[in-house]
Amino acid sequence: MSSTLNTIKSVIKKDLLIELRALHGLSSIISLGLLIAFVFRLCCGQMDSNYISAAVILVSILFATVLICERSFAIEIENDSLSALLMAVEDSGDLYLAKLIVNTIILFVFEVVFFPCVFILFKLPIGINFFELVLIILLINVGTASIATIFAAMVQGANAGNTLLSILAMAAFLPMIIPATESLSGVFEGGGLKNLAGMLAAFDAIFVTISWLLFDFVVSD
Amino acid sequence: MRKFWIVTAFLLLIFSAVCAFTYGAIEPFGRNIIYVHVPTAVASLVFFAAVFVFSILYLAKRDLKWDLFAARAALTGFIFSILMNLTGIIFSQMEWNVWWTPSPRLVSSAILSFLYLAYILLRASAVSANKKAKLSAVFGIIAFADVPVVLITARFLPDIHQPNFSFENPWQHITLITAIIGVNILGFVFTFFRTRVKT
Repeated sequence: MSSTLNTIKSVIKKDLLIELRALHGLSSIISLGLLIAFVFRLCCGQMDSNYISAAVILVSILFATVLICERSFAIEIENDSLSALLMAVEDSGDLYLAKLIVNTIILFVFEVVFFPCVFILFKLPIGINFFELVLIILLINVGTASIATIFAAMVQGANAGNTLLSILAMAAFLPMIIPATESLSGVFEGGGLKNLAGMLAAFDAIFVTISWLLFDFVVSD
Repeated sequence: MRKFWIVTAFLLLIFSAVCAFTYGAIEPFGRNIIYVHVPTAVASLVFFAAVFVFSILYLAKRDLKWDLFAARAALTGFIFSILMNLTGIIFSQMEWNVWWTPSPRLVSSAILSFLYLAYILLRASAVSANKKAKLSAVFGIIAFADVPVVLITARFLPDIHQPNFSFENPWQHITLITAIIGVNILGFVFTFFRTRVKT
């Protein structure tokens, strides 16, 4: 148990240090997220709706997740670091969990910058329950990152891997879209979490477990 | 063996088609499209489940035979899901005067088709046969885990789809059941007998 935790901590530390030194991943996803929000703002004209804001946030998070997860494995391709990492860890599932946590943290940092801009652009109410918002966002982050992380490991070395990752991840995200949008717009309207948050939590639990179990098949030769 | 199943499937489908125009006909005539829509919907779910089972068998046994079956089942299921969506669109226009609307069953079936499509694209992109088999098996399992989530989450959308179609006479039941069995046997033939397995 302690070796698992040590492995996860070491990989998280390594990946976060790489990200903090270069900031390549964060800067690109923040730019993309802001551009998506701005494009939507222009497309919607004077129309303001909590539902549109929720959709904009979700689309930005989905694109950001795909980019972050793709990068988290792309950095391991150089000098075949992935093989070295796999030799270093006791169980490849630990590597998956570490990558998942790193990707979720980076997504959260992205959202800290992205959300104030969306609030301003879409005139969202300031007096909402921020605890509920953070909870929903966390559930969305874990769900999207759990799927995109395993798919990012899968497409390494495949033809047109980046395009393929987007297609696979977006297709697998589809069932999550309805509860995520409904619960986000519910928070903006002050309607509470309803039972959709439970559904998001169930989605996260299913996909983290399945991906964790299957990760060994993806990375083993 | 292959010919036997093909002949059986076609006999069942011909019987069903004849019934659909005679004793089992539904009024107005356009509604008879459910004899294509429902069987293809059932078959697409059956073959999606088959992809899941074959994927697990491949990962457990590492025998490429199961990967070939999974690939064939995915293609069969995708064709059926496209047919289901096309007939659904026509039925929706006739019944509710709308081509497509985000209702639970329509959304679920569209998501299923997208998942099949992603599976087929993944198979086309992998570099080596073993890697293709392994990655497709992983995606096949994850995609099938999506199905219950899709079915549950879609219930939160407003529904225009009737839960059960009411039949007026037993011939309509017989017609539909025969069509379901016929279509599934046809899919079974495409999946198992079009694959040349080298052992």
